[in-house]
Amino acid sequence: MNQAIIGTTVAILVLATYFSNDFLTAKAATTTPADTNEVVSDSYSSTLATWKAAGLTDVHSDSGMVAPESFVGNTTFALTADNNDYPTFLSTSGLTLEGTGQVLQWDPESGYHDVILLVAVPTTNLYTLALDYYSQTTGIREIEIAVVVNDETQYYEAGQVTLDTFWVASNDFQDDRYGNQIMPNATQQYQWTHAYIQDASRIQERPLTFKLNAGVNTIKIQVNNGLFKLGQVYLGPQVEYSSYQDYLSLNGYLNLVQGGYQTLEAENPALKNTLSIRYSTDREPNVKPFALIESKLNVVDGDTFRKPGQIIYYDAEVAQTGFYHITVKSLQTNVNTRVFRTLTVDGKVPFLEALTIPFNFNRKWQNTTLSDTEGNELAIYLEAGPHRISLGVNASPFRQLHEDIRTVMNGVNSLSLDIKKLTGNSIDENREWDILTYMPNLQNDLVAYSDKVKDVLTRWTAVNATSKASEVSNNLKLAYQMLYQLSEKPNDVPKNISKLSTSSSSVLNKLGVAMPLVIDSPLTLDCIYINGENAALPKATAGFFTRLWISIERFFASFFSSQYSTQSDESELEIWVNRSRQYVNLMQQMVDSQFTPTTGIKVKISIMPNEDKLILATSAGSQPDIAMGVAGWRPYDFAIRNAIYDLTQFSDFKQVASRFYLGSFMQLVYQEGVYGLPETQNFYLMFYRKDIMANLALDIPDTWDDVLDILPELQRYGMNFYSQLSGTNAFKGFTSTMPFITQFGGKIFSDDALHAALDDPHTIEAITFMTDLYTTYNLPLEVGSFYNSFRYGTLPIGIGDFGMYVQLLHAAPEIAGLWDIAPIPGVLKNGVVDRSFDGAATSAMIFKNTGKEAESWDFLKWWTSKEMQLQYSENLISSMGSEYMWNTSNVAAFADMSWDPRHKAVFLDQWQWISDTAKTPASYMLEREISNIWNKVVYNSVNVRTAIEDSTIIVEKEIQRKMSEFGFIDSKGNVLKVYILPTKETIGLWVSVDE
Amino acid sequence: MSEIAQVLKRKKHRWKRDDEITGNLFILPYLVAFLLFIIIPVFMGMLLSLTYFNLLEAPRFVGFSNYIALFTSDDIFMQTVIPNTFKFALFVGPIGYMLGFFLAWLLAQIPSKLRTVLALIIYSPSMTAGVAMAVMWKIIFSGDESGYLNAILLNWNIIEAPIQWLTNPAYLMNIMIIVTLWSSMGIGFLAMLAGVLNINPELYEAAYVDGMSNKFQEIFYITIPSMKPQMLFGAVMSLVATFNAGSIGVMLSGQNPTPQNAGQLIVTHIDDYGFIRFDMGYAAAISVVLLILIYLMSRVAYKLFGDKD
Repeated sequence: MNQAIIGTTVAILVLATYFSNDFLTAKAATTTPADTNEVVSDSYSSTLATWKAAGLTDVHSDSGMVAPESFVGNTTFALTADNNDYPTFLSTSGLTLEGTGQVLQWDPESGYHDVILLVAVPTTNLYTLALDYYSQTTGIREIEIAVVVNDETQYYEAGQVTLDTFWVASNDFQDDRYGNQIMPNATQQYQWTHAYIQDASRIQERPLTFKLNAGVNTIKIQVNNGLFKLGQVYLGPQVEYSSYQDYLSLNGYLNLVQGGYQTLEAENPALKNTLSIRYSTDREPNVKPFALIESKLNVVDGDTFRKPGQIIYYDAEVAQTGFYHITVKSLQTNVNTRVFRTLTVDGKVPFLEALTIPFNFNRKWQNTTLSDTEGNELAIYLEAGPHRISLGVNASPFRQLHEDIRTVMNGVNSLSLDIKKLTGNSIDENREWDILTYMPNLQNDLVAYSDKVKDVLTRWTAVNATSKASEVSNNLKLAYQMLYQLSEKPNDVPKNISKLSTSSSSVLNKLGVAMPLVIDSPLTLDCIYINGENAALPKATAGFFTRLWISIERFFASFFSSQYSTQSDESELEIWVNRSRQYVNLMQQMVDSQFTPTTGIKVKISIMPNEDKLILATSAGSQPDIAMGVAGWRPYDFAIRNAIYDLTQFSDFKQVASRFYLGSFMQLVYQEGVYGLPETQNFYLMFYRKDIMANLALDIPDTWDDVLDILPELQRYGMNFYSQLSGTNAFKGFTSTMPFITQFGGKIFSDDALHAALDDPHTIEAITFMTDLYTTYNLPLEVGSFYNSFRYGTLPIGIGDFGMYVQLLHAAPEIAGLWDIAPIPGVLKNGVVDRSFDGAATSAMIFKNTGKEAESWDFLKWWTSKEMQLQYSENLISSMGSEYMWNTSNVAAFADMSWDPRHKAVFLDQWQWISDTAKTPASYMLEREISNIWNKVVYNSVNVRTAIEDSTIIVEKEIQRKMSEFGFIDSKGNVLKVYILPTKETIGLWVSVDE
Repeated sequence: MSEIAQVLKRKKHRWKRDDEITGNLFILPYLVAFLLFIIIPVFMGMLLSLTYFNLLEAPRFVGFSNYIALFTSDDIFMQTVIPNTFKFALFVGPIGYMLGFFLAWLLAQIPSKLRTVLALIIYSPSMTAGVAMAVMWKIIFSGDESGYLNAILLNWNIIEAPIQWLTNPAYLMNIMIIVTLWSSMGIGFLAMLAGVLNINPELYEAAYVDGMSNKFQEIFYITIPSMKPQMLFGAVMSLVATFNAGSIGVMLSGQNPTPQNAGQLIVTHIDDYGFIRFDMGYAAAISVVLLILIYLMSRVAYKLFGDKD
């Protein structure tokens, strides 16, 4: 330990005692969550460049450490001696214990955690930050923290830091009923970890650095998600790795160990730092373990091992000290593209070259001996004894390309916005533009972007060491060619604006497709060999005749496999699910591995392709025990016809119901009973293009009045606002009409539910507003696809649903990061904006004559629990891809999902306003007639009140008919029994525990 | 003589009886299938129409109340559905039928190879699944600027703002008629094509010798009279198809019922009651009415085209 370290440490200790308590409390008071939540948009790379340009450096020798005893800040933490063997961890990791071994423990009950470090540094320079932490988080979301230096989030990444948690799973796989192996459940391994503060996307080559001024600095570590114990915090210069040559000479390299190898099966890791890495089955005969028919988990699936920062750890026992090769049997099918992995041995990167070990494209399994980017095989020094080896995804060689593409995309996008601002949205083919008068730089800009993309392509080719066409290079090539063509005739750019940004073959789209692919690094692993020189490793693929024979065998064996039989057992609980095969298979897997073993209830889940089958099956008496994934309104229709089970019969119903929002039960209620559980949720949200709204200097509307305010400006540029009434479907159902009526405080039923109340003054106000939007304010009457219009910028703002969110997130790369969501506009009442919406998606129901009510209820309870919903959500994403987002109705599970936290906050905000429309036997007629009223007023210019009067007559007739059908009134209209209509205020009586 | 005659007569009788039995045996499979899949369901439907049946609970006998409700209190049925159905049937039926005959006749005039290709092309829309078709038409008639028809009309400055073809009740019915006509060249058309081709060319030659002077006379004096069976078949098929073709409006507008019931036909009305409102008894009553309607119409077709002898 050199002098500088000790010097700084002393200074820190002095500081902590020097400042009085008054100072510290004053400091604490100013650091409320709100003031650090502002979003800093500067990226780390650009900030770093500015710093370096200003002469700051990260190469220096100042370093130091802050022990927990010196932490200051809010009072929600305490130091504890319950330190989970922290001193032992420090000594085994080669770190020094400075304090008493006490560690920081936050109060788990408190909602907000932070800690402040006061550090003094001798010169203004850049410092890395590392910390020791012990995860205490129970959810599956990563630990998220923000680092605020001197009350400032220095760049975007500093506000979004994640700390790894570690997961361990049994490597002894269970079989399902057909002998297929089931993905084991991972549990978190709680352990001390020493980690540098890194960017959340793990694409930077080195840890993040922070600018500290000479003198005293405050560093605040704010916890945004999860909980952990915090040990010492370390400050220091940027990490440097030794070169391979130094590594060899340092360890006295003479020769490689000769011959021999040991095998580590990739699907049996010791540890992984993410749940999303999953195993799957590869049918290649030489991939072990191999099975003819059953699906044995034998590989780490490259589709789930592709995101920078994912790491798998393996334990190996080496018999003889010496230099070894490490060979990975892998499948890398990213066409003509390299992917990189980082090798660590015992938690350390042995040398610089091990950071970025390339794996080249090949359609077949390959034994790849780890080598540097030039192809020279690397030797790794391993002493006899146990070692922990890890392979982690690294995409940092592509970081600069990724950033450059983003820069060009931002530039191109703002260019096209500027042009659109000049020309409006509808381009007249016959009009000649002299665009250069208004935008003299247009031509130069286009040429510069073209050159930049070309340069990116050159570097892409260099990193991949091949000039053969890949998906990325094709897109880049098209993009720069198109940019160049556009630059040749700048005055034609307005006419060809679709080539620049507003179509699916535009420059923006090509770049948007390429950008995420650049850093996408899938690699499927079968096993890892630690081998000596000239070791006789098994061949990666089987010969032609072996494979031929295997496929013949497999074909005949398939006739005798029980996997494809459809017989169901009487003792099994039969569940029909209206979802696609992937959803159902995963559900069955989870049930087989977790529900059946603990409860002894066997469950058979089948796909129900069409919900209408339920009606026919029920009338034929062959209905299942439970139906899931049925439309939210379906249980009501079955309930009033006496076909399904009243869930309030179960004594713990209200406890289970408390998992959901009260408003989600509105249409599941019939008289005293509740007949279904909400399963998934739809959301209506306001989507807006940040770039366009900022460019037009428009505020994001909060109420409908705000919407009306921005309309003239939007329409001036040929843009518009999309409301849910603008869809192509002629029928405007409750989901698109009722939000208006509820927000305006209107109602559609009289209190006894025996009459329509469309003439309620608030309802009339709402309907008038709904129609005025189209007749007076000129909203688009019919939009083929809001998603596309939003991408192309013609409708830069509007109301979309959950499906739209998923689509934008995964299928609109060209506007990634350029859009955001907000709660839907509402109506201001008593100082609160009412944003009520109808959000039921699917629900689950139990059939009346199942005979297995208790088992069915147990199943539903288990399935809708927070843990299962979370697990299902994560499993869906990790096994099928990030677009399989599970919009569960379980509020607590939703809040814990690992989605973008800021978007999730908007979802949760909007969700509070859920208020489905209660049903009555005749409510469908109201739904139709409200749609017809809107249609009549908008298309036939009928007066609103006249239309309402006409419709009321029709609705009243239907209510009489249906109410007498179900015995609520007799043919003369006398009330026989009271219809109980739930309202927002009274729904608690059915489902709330307190009432 | 008389004995021989009697024996012969008896033998003839036996033969006749034997023939009948064999003949009946031959049509037995069809008869069973017809009974099982047509007669019994129709009969059941008639029975159901006398009940209250919500699909989930057992049916309850209610007499003729469904029929009474249908004719006395179902405003939509009497005010919109029946007129709509007749308007639709009137356009699609006769026009489709004439178009079918005209196309068949035109095809008969051209060389056989080309004829086969063209016949297949004209016939194929009727084989295409309704949904796939609706998707195509929905793109053409899409109500925003991106719809083909709107884009063309906007480009030619015929309209100023896009028209909501499928949402606006004023257009929906006409579009339904156009789409149905496009896909109506089905089995009836093929039968008529076969009919035209089957006519002995000598008839035409003879007629020309007798002084026939143009193609019109050819059609009216020879072609139509000599293909009466096919004409009848085509007429009945087109009638049945017309009354049964209801779902197109629902597919195009994306909802049942169609906006302001503009495209509501008997078939969609049945679907609405049967599967959306869970009132199968009432739906059955409507379908019985539809059955009677189709029967009456086909009597008219027989009157027009049937063999008088």
